[in-house]
Amino acid sequence: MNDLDDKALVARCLDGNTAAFEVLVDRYQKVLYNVALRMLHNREDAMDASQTAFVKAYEKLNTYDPTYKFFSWIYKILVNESLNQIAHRKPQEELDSAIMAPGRTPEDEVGEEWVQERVQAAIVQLPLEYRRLVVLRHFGDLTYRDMSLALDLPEKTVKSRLFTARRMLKDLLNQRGTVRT
Amino acid sequence: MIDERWDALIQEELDGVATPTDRALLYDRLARDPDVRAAYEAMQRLAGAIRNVPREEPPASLKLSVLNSIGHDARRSVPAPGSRIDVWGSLRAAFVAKPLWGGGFVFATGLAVGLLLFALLGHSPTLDTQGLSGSMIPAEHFTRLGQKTIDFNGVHGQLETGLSSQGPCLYVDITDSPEPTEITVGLGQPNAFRGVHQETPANGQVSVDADGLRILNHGKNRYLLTEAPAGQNEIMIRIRVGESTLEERLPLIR
Repeated sequence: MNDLDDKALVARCLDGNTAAFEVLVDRYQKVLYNVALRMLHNREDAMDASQTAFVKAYEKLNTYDPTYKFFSWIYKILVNESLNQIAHRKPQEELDSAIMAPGRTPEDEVGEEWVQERVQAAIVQLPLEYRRLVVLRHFGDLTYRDMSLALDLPEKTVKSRLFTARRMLKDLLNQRGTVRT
Repeated sequence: MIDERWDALIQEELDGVATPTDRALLYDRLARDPDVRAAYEAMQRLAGAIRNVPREEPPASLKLSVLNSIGHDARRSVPAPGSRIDVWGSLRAAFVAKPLWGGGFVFATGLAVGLLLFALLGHSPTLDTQGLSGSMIPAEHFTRLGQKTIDFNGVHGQLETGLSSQGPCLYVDITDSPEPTEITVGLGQPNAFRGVHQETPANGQVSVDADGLRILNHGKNRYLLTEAPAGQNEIMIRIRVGESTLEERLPLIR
């Protein structure tokens, strides 16, 4: 069943074959979890959002339109779920300290790991409407069209906002002297 | 600062969507304009920095939780009536009434009073589990992950971790024990399991304290602990009898 494409797997799920959904979970759990993690910056929340997205997708499979890509559709559910979590979150719950690794000394502030942490921190600082574009493009590898479907935005808007988001990210990293831009 | 047109073209090229004509224009410009070249290299570095952010493996429990939520087995193998005591769930819900199977109103009231005392007085409640009955997980819905025989200071039985419709779970099956036998579950992980169930004959006691769940066992009892936290690969179980302690680790994932 692993060699079936997403649409064939969805069709099997709709016939009551839950094993087909397991293949879809295997196929997308890592990328969905990572998208959620970069959106939410908290592992527990990312786990919850990913789980809910999969379960909601399963429950709504009969509404899935096979003319669209399955992963654009499930990303849409995931992004909405992540936004819900952020909306219900208290400000101090925003960051996961295990990911941020605070309290570094100047001696620590060298090397690739430090740059990665700064990049992650800068992504989290982006306003949500821009953050979700950077995350979907770079962590979900979605095309402009896929993002347009996932976010219910015109493709042109996706493109211009993504460009703006990257400029903002560049500025944030320049301020921190992280990536020479 | 370069013209926005070039900035947009740089991003399209890096996203792999630039048309052949635009790409040719861009590369021609890159060869002649140091500002555009600097902007292109900066965007390349940014994309590289984002690409290098490590992608994490999701917790093993993610898939399991999803499959349990959607699976037919999940609906068929809910605990039998009278078998569920969701201690942590009750705490979390701040004493809001939760569904309890037919174990009875008397038990529910006792549980609520115990939890209220716990909150008000700051010490462990004793949860009266008398009267619970029913089997836990049908054998066909339980996949064993690990097993340890207990033969320790007069305590006999076995520990068994497995996967069920309720996710990773732990059976503590005591066939015989002197009194008192205290079993602490989830050492170092205070809420390692949020659900606790007891099979007949219910002559043990379950309590909650800072170390996690404690079972004070009398004689022969079988306990089922469910609702393990996300991302936990194994569980450490400490069985203490008098001054002696036995520690075992069992897997919670396949």
